[in-house]
Formats: sequence, C-alpha cells, structure tokens
Amino acid sequence: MYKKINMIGFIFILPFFLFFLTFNLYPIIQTLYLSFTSFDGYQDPQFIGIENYINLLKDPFFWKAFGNTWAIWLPNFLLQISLAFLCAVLLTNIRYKVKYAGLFRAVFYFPNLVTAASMAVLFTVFLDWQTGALNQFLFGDDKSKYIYWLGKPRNAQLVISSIQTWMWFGHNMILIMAAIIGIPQSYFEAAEIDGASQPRVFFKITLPLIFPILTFVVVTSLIGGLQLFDIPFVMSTGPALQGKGEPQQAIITMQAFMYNSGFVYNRMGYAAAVSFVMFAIISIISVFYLKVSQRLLGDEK
Amino acid sequence: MKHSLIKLAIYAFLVGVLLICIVPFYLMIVNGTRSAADINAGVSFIPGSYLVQNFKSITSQLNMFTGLRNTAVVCTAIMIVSSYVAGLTAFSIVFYEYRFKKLLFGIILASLMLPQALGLIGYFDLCIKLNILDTLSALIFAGAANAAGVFFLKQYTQSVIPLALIQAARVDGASELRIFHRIALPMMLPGMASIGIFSFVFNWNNYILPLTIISTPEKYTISMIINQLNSTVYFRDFGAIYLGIAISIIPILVVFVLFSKVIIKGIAGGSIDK
Repeated sequence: MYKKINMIGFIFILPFFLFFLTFNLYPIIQTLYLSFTSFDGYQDPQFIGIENYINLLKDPFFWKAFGNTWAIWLPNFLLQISLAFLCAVLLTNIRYKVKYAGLFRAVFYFPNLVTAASMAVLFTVFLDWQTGALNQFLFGDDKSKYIYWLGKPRNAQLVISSIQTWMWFGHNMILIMAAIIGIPQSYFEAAEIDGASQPRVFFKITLPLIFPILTFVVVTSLIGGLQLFDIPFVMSTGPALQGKGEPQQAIITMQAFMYNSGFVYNRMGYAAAVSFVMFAIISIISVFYLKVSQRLLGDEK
Repeated sequence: MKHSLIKLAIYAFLVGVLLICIVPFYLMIVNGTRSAADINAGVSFIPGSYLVQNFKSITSQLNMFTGLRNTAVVCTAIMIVSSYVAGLTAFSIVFYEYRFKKLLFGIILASLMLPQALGLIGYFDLCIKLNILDTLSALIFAGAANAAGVFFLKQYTQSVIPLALIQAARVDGASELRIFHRIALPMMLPGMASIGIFSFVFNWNNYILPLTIISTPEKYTISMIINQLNSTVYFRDFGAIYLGIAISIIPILVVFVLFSKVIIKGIAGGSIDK
C-alpha cells in the first residue's frame, strides 16, 4: 500500500520539475551551447568552438564593463554594510532600548521593495543638474555651484553606488538584526553586570557570533552586485543613448554589456559567452571568499 | 546625563536615516502634483494643484494602465501557479518517501545559487522555438518554478502539519490528492501567502526579462513603460514624470502597507519577532 502511496507522492513533485527543467534549466544549458556558436537570433547557430570566449577576453569594452561593475559595487558595499551594521546594532542595543524599532526597521527596508527601474527614473529627475531637486536644495538659485551628478563618469558611478546602498542597506540590516537577536540574551546581560564597555561587548560577543550571517551578506551582495543591471541601464538615458552607459560608458555594467551584445548588436552567441564568464567570475569569487572566511572562523576557535 | 545624551544622538541618527528613506518618495508625490514650471523654479515640500493636468499629460503620452494591467496579469498568474506548484512539491518532499527524493531536493536547493539572468539568451531562443516570444505567457512560464518558495514552504509544512494528521486521513480512506487539497492546502495557506507576496513583488519589479521577451508596446509591463518615461525626459514635463513613477509603485506601496510584517519576518527567517 505504501509503495502505491509513495508513487503518488512522487507524481506531486513532477509539475515543479516539468516547469523547472523546461523553462529554467534547459535555457541555461542552451545558453552554454549557444556560447560556442555564432548565433545571431535569426539564422541557425554555427558551431565556432571557443572563439566567443577568446574574443571576449580580448574585448576592451568587456573589461571596461567589468571595471565599472566593481567600481560601482565596492563603494556601495562598504557604505551599505557599515550603515546596515550600525543601524542593526543601534536598534537591538539592550542598554539604550530604542522605541519604535519596528517602524524604523520597516521604513529602512522599504526602498528595497520598490521597482528599481522606477527608482532609476526618479533619481534621474532628482539629479538633473539644471532642474533637479538635489541641486536646487543644496545650492538654491546659485547655478554656478550646481554639480553634474550624472554628467561626469566618476560622479555617475558613485551616484549609482549610493542608490544601491539606499535600496539594500535595510535588507542587510534585517539579516544582521535577526542574527543579533538570535544571540542568547544572557551573554549581553552577563557583560552588562561585569560592566563591559559597549565596544568591548560588540567586538567580543556580537561580532564573532554573527560572523556566519556576515559571510552570507557579503556573498549575496556580491552575487547581486556583479549582476547589476536595472538602475545603471535605465539611468544611462535619452532615446538614442538607452543602455549605452553614458557618460563615457562609465555606468555600463557586465550585465548591460551582455544585454547590448545580444539584443542590440544581435551577437547572441557572444552574449551567451558573457553570461557564462560572469557566472564563472561570480562562482570563483564566492568559493574563494567562503574558503577564506571559513579559515578565519577556524582560527578564532 | 551621559546616558540620555547618547540616547538623543542615537535617535537623531536613526531619524536622519529615516528621512533619507522617506524624503525621495515624499518629494515624488509632492512633485506629482506640481507643474513643470514650479518644479523648475525650486524644491517644495507642499503639494501643488497640478495633479489633474499631470495625470492627463502622463496618460495621454504613455499607456500607463495597459502596463499596469499587463503586469498585474503576469504577477497574479505567477503567484497562483508558482504557489500551488511549490505547495504540491513541499507536500511531496515532507510526506512521501521515494528514490532520488534527496537528489531532487538537492537540485532545487542548488538552483537557488544560479544567477537569475544566466539563461536569458537560451530562454529567448526557447521562446522563438515554442512560438511564445512577445507574449505575456513567456513571462509567466519563466516564473512558474519557484525554488526559494519550495524551500520556505518545506520548512513551513514540517512545522505546521503533523504526520499523524495525514495518516489519520489515509485511514479514513481519503485519496492522496484529496488529502492535499482538503487538509494540507488550508494549513499551508499562510506560508503560501508569504511566498506569494515575495513572488508578486519580485515579478512586479522584474525588468531585464520583459525587456528581452516583449517587443509590442501593448504588451509592455510597467517597468518597461517607466523606462519609456525616462526616454521622454526631453519633454521636460517633470510633474507628469513624477506622477508616472508614483503610479508605477502604488501596488508595491499597498503590498508593503498591508504585509510589511510578513515580508520582514520572511527575510529574517522568523527569528526577529522574539
């Protein structure tokens, strides 16, 4: 009887795999195959071996996009993690019990939920050098002081780093808060009785105990950050400039480079190769980071 | 004395961060009610009287409502299909024993590591072959298998449905499918609701997939419409643009106001409400 029942149970898992294999896994395998072809989206793909990959590694525009992605991600990450950490520690501190912690938490998280494409447009109009709200707010009518937020390459990169921070610090804050709340209260109470200073409590109790969640935060932020697309793509604006990463291609990310190769220049095979090189970069860095952090954690024990 | 000073500094800092999170949205709404000339003249935190004109301007330039409807159709369909399929999958993993179960669950977990856009080119190619390129169905199929949802629901099912209940129903002679629909499904609904909310928000915000799959303006999703808004910045009708952005995120705002507790609990894995 149980054999028959378990057979039915097996059937229950099939719809998921039907969808997953057809619409999620097969496209990935097909992308891998197409990365070895000259597929242009119209004609039958011709097998060309690793030519796309060789061309890609020699393509200065790809390396430009690679550098841009890091130049946007790194400041964003440092800012984001510091802010998330600070807010999480303040909102969970037992000596200065903050009221309305639930409200702060919810509002800090909110920007993360909102459509990134919409936020990109919102900040494009806010940061418009001539009529944008930020320049008006900072400098009033004195147009000589107005800053080209989006007009200069390095400014545009930092603006996107800041928007990313604004959108993501709340998410990481919630993860860090959950980890801190997970620490047994008795540890903090004991430290309080012993009269340990706040920094000491932080470095000796909080930090070591939430290290695993920090690893998770770093890796997920890295995986997300290296695939950054929506905001820089929409912000490099103008009908003719869409996605071109202006100014001076400073905000063209790897994902945008992939999209442009495939869907603007019809080099689908080449774009497929970009996808897999990105995947390789993300995998290598994640594994490397996990190994290093495990070793660090091992040393501390 | 020192204690209360520090406390004051903490509140000042937190309120400062709070303002940074809120002010862009507040300015967006205020500017949505002001004329382009007013916006060009300077910042204001007081609403204007141009709401109706801005609304007419934005709806005459862009198919805002078609975009909202298309996105709502896609998100709702994915939410229903993916939650039901994930529920069935979680039920199967928790209550049955069969060969390769561990392997299959392992595949589901491993798929969580795959970057979202890795298979984009292959999916475009698949849509050509299946003749579903430039259809909303192509967007729905892509979201039907929700691996994160399965993982979450498996934990949830384990904690809310006792095995004894399922076995009692079997003794009473109920079929397995009936047990799932009549006993398990109602008990799993709160868990399905929270994965449904996440799936709704994720798909509402999705940009790169519709951008590659959809080409007919009548089928544009809201994020593509918003993108058009940016290419029309040269109209310099800023009041209308602000209002358009505001309209595009209203559904997200509603979801957040109604479900913020569920959402935050979902991210923190339930530990945060202690």
